[in-house]
Amino acid sequence: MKLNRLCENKTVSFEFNKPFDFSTTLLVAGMGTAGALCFYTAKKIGLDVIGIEKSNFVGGTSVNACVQSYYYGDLSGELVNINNNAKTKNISQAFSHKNEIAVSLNQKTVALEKWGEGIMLESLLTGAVLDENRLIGVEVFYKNKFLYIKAKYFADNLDGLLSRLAGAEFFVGRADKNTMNCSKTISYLKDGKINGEWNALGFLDGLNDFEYSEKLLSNEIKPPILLEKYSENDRAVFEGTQIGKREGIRIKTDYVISFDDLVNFKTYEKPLFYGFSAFDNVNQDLENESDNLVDWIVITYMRHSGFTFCVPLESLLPKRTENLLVIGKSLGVTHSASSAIRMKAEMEKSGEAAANIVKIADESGCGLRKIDYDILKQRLIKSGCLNPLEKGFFKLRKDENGNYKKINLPKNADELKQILSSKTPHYALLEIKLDGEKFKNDLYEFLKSDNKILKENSAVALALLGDKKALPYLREIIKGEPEIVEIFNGAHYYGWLEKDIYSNFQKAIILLGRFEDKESQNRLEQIAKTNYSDEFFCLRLNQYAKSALKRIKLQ
Amino acid sequence: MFDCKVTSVEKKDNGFLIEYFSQSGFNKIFAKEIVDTTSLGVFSQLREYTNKHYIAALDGFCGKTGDFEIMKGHLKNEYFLKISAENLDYISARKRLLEISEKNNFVIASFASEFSFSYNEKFLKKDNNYSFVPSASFANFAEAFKAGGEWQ
Repeated sequence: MKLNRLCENKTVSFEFNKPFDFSTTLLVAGMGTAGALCFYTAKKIGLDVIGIEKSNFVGGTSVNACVQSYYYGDLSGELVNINNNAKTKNISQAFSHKNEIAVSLNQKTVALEKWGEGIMLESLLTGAVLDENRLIGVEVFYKNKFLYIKAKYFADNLDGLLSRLAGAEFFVGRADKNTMNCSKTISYLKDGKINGEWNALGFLDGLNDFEYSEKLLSNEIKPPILLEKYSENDRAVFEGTQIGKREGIRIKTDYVISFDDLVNFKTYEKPLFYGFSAFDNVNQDLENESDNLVDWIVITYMRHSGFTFCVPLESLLPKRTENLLVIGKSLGVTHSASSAIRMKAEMEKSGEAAANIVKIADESGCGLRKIDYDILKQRLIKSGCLNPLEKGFFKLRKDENGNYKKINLPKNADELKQILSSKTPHYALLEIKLDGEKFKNDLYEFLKSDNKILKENSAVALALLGDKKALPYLREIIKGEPEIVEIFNGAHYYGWLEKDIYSNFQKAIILLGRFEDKESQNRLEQIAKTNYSDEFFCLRLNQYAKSALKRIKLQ
Repeated sequence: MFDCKVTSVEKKDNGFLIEYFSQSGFNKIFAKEIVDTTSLGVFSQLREYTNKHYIAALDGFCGKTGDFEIMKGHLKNEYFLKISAENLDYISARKRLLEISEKNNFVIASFASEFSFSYNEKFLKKDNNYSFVPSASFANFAEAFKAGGEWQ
């Protein structure tokens, strides 16, 4: 047997011949958003389970610092029971958010901890025990000594750490080396209600322990808790127990969900659960994302519309392992797709599904890959975890009946023209992105229009299709000054996303870079250095121009 | 270095070899000198914590007092519910706290635990290159801060 430990970011093997202190059927590594639901479900369906958690709370960042109240996601499965239970308790009155996603911090913690036996708080998973490359146990540092726990099955909710130690491969996958965008969360009491807030700390990739700590320290001297922002009666009540990572290390699973799978609404033979989200990528350096993702987030503004998607069994099964499931943010999803598949509700469902998969495998004595899917399906439908959603794009706000409202995309040239003549052309651009070739001739006609907005939007649409006829019009757009128009008031689910900017100037910079347009080089060099009045917008324009120039110069 | 847990300390070459587990896994660091402000000391084998009390911050206290303690905070609507939690683990203590709060219609804003240690003297140990100066040996955090400065 061997003990694999992470030492200075590398897996190192040691000989192992110690006895195990405990044994269990399922070991849940990390009791965060997904792990907590995995543990809760496992207990509920009668599995012998042990949960390892380094902090002294279960539920992870989302529960411990009120992040739970803003996420997208399709609420279904066991977490609905927990929420309903919370609603019956007066304790949830302290929370400010009224939407159904909000769950009382304390009540959820209690619901999860109701099954307390088997939860090891303040315990660190420090190693994996393997017998001929099969994961058979873990090493845990608990109360100042190392313990060894044997298990038949494992669920990894530790940023992929257990999967890595068990021999699974991992990947990142972004044009820039940084992927691990992180924030620190805090909950505060304002006007008698608890709210969650967070500080973006930047990226954590590859930091040594000192640099990592500097990141944390930088949080301590920043808002959100400033006296000028809050009155003397407001106060911080809880700081998140750990850094919240928007994205962690990804594990290579039997199937890795791609960006194209999402926008094509791919379905699978063995679905575990469905989800709902926007492309909620708020990285400050979007120029380092793939062209495809930038098309969806910046050009068509699809971060402000939602869509449904499906996650299959194969995305929870790390390659090169037999008895391990990866749950939470490390499950098999590419970086681009992870801007949607990372929401709290979906992460919780991955944990719930994992417990059910283990239950069936354990009862039938077969491997995780060979379970009877029909039995699993029945279980997941019964609990609500597998709740098929209609395919399509939807508005982020639900209607008065609690349903997602489908987006009406233009069906003919007249409708396309009408939308492209407005400063909210996103649904027209979305249709172009999805199936735009059929409108090409119409777009050529629109370019001849005297309507400046229609002409500019049509040029952007053609550029989305890679048509160089857009080039002179794009050059014209960046000759002038950027126009910043706030749009989308009231269109979003959450207040802080109520406003965004409409700017063909910004889009033209990106698209000219893609065409590697030498003629635009001088103007782009000016834009890259210009100090525009709006600080945030200025940064974006400067960065997009620099990114476009990089492409042009590489020509 | 935050988020680090010391897993072992051994004397070596007139100093100490300290092994710790952090976000990058196991690491080792050599130190000529240790100032140990942990409650029990890095060499102590006794690591069983005792939760003396479990505390909850209450929002707009409106209930009645009973077999538990309510303390008024400094801010408007700030109250603390304090229960004895000696030898209870976190989960048991929180369950007990919740039972009391539900029975009395308290709205809880956050939890905290209060550990209790007692020491006969402030500077408990000072060898040539190892000092045991637990913060918990001082009457309050202000004194502990001050002592930290004086020690230096």
